[in-house]
Amino acid sequence: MQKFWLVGLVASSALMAGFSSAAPRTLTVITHDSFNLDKKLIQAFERTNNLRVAFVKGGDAGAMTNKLILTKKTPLADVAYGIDNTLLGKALSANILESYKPKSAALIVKEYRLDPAWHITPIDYGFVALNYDKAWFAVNNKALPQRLEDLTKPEWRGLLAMPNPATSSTGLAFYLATIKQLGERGAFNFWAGLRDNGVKITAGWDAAYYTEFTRNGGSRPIVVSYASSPAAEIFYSDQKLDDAPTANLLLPGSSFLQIEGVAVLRGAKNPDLAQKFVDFMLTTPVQSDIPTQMWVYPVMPNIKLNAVYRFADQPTGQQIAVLQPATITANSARWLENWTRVVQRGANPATLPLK
Amino acid sequence: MNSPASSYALALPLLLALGVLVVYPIALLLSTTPLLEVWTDSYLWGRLGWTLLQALVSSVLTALLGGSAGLVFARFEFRGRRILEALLGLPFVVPVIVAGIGFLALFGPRGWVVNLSETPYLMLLANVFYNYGIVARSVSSAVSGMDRDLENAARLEGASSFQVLCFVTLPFALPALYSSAGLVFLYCFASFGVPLLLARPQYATLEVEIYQAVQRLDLGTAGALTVAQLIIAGVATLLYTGAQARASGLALTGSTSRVRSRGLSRVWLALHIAFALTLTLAPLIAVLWRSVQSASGTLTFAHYLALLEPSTGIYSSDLGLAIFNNLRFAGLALLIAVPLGVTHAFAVWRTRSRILDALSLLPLMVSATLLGVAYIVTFSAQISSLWLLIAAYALTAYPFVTRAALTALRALEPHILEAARVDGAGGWALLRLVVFPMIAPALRVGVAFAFAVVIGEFGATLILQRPEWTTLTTLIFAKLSRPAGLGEASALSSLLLLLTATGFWVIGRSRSS
Repeated sequence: MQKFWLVGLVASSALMAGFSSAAPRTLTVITHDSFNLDKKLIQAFERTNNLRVAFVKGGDAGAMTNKLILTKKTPLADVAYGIDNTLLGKALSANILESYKPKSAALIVKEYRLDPAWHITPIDYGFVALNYDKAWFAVNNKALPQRLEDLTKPEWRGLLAMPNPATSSTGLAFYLATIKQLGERGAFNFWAGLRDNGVKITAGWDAAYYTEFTRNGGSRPIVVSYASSPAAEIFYSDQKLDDAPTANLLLPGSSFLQIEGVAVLRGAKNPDLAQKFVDFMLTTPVQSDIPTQMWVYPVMPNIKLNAVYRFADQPTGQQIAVLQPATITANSARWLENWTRVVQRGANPATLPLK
Repeated sequence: MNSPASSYALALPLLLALGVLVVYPIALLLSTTPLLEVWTDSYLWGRLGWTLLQALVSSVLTALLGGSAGLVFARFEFRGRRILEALLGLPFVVPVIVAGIGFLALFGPRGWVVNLSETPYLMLLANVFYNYGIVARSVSSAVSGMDRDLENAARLEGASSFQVLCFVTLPFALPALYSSAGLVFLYCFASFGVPLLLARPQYATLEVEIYQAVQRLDLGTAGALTVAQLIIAGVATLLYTGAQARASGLALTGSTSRVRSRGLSRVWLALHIAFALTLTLAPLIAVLWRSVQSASGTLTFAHYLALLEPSTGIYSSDLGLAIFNNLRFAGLALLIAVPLGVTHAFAVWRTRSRILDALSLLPLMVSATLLGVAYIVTFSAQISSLWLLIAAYALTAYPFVTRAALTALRALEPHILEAARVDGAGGWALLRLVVFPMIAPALRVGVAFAFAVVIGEFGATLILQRPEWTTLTTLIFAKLSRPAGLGEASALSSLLLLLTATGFWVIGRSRSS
C-alpha cells in the first residue's frame, strides 16, 4: 500500500512539474573534443535560463569546422565552440556564422577580438610552442637551439618531433608561425632543412607527445606542443613535483597565437538561447574555470590563474607569430600543398610556386 | 522453407540495412563529385599499389602464422589454452595510439627488441598483431570440430604426420582460413590508424589519403579514391568468397577432442605459444606495465585510484558510466548484429548466391572516413542520435557473425539434415535441434569478435559523439589529449582489456566443456 502512495506521489509531482513551468527548451552546442568545463557551471546556466544543454562532439577543431560547412543547410547545432583563428577564414567564407555582439564585448582584451563584425566571440587564447625535455638536455650536455634555423643544423639533428600540419591544427599553427617568421621562401627552405635533418612527423599531437617525445619514452627531446604544457605536466602528475620536467623553448617567432571562439550558427533553431550561451562563456566563473580545464588563457581581463601557471611562461613580443585569419584562408591550401611536397615527397623548395 | 524465393527473402533485412546505411548515403555523396580527374596524378597510383601490396603481404603473413597456430591449438590440449585463446582477440579492441605506444616500446628507436620505426615492416607487424587472433581462433574452431577418426584412419593407412596435415587436416581448415584471411585483407586494405601512426608518409594507404582529402574538404579526390578502393575490395571479396565456397563442404561433427603433445610436437606447440604471447601480448603487457609505473619509475596504483575520483568536467565522465556505456552499446549492437548476421548467413547458404555472399562484406569495403562524411550530409538531423550510433556499431560487427555462421553452415553434413527431416523434424525444429547446436561453436567465435569490434568502436567515427556516451575508449583519448596522461590512459586500457577478455571468456565458453 505504501508503494502505491509513493508511486502516486512521484507521478503527480512529475505531472505538476510538467504543468507548473514551460517545458525547458534544448540548446544544442557543438564543440571540438578538447572542450571541457565544470559540470556545475553548466547546471547553473541551465537553471538560470530554464533550458537544457545538449553537447555534441565534432572531432578536432578542423574536423568540426568541416562538418559545420558540410551541413550548412541543416545546422548540427545552435552554437559552436572551438573555431580558432586558423579556421575562422574558412568558416566566414562558407558563411556559416551568425553575427552576435555579446554584452561584455567591450571588456574583451583588444588584441584577441577575432572579428570586427562579431561573427565569432573570442573566449580563450593559447600558444602553440616548442617544448623540450629538461632531463635529456642536462644528461646529454647539449646546448639549446637559439633560433628556428638551428633546428636544421647537424648539431641538433633528429631532435624534433611534430604533428603533420595537414592533419593536426597544432602542427598547422607551428607551420604558420615559421611562415610568418621566415617568409614563404625562407620557410620552405627551412622545412627542406628540417626534412634533411630528420624531423619526425606524426599524425596528431598525441602521437608526437606520447610516442616520440623523450619524456614519454620516445627518441625526440623537442616537441611541438603548447606553452601551457609544462604547467599541465605538474598539474596532472602522479607525484608532487616542485619543478616541471619539461619547459618551453621560446625562439624568435616560434610560438603561434591561437585564439578560440564561440559562434552562433546560421540557421540555428534556437538563436536566442545560443546568444545566451555566448554571453555565458564570457562570465567570470567560466573564464576562471577555462585555464585548468582546457589549458588556455581567458580573454577577459583580471581573471586569476591557478598557481601552477607559473610554469607556463607566456611567450612575449618577438617570440609570437600572429597571422590574420584572412591571410591564412587566402594561402593555407597552397601552403599545405607545398609543405606536403617538400617534407613528405622530398621536393626541392626552389621549384615551388610562390604567391 | 526450401523455395528459393523464401531463401532470398531471408536476405532482405540485411539488404535493406545496407541500402539505408551504406549505399544510399555513399551514392548521394558520390553523385556530386567528379570521379576520374584525380587519376592523372601518378602519386595516387603509387598509393594504390602500395595499399594493395601491404594488404596482400599482411593477410598472407597473418594467414600463415595465425593458421599454423590455429591448427596447433586445435590439436593439442595444454594448460591455459582457453585463456590464451581468449587473449588472442584482445589486440582488436586496443586503440591504435595505445598499441602504438606498446609497439614502439618494443620496435621503436629505443625499443627493447629492434628498431623498425623507419621501415614498412613495423606497419606489417602491426597488421599481423591486430589480426593474428582472428585467423588463429577461426581455424582452431573449424578444425577442433572435425572428426579425429579421419586422421587416425589416415595414419593407420600409413600416412606420415605431414601427409595427414596436408591431405586430411588442412582441407578442413581451408574454409575458415580463407574466410578469416579475407577479413584480414579487407581490414588491412582499408587500414587507417596503423599506417597513420606507425608508418612514414611514403607508406600511407588510400584510406589515409582519403582522410587527408576530407580534411581539406576535397571531396572529389576522397570520392574518387573511395570508388577505386571499393572496386578493388569488391573484386578481392568475390575471389575469396568464391574460394571459400569451393573449399567448403567437409563434414563437421561438432565434437571436440584434443590430445596432449609429446616429443617434437611439444616443441612445436611451445614455439607457437611463445610466438602468440610475444607478438600479440608483449605490446599489451607494455601497456599494463605503464599503468602501474609512476613518472619516476616506481611501482604505483595511483593511476587506477585517480580513475575512481568523481569527475568534475562535463566532458570527463565517471569510470562507472564509461564501463556501463561500453556494455550497453555492445549489448544493443549485438542484439541487432547477431540475428542480422545469422539470417544473412542462412540466405547465402541456401541460395548459394556469390553476390549475396560478397555483399555481406560491404561495410568493410567502403572507406569509413568517407562514409562518415556521407552520414553527416545525409543524416544531419539524426547524426547524434543513439539509434544511429547503435546501427553504426551493428554495421561494423555483423560481418563477423555472418562469416562464422556461413563457414559452419557449409560444413554441415547433408545426410544429417536429411536424416532429421526423415525423422519428421520440421523447419523450426530442424534449426533448433540440429543446425544451431552444430554451428554454435563457430558462431561463438564470430560473436566474440563482433563483440570486440563494438568494444573497439570501429563504428564510432561514423557519427557525432555526445559526452554522455563516453566509453573507456573515449576516456583514453581524453587522457592522451593533454600532458601527463599516459599513466591513466594505460590504466584505462588495461581495464578495457580486462573487460574484453571477460567478454571473450563468457561468449567463447563452449557448453560441452
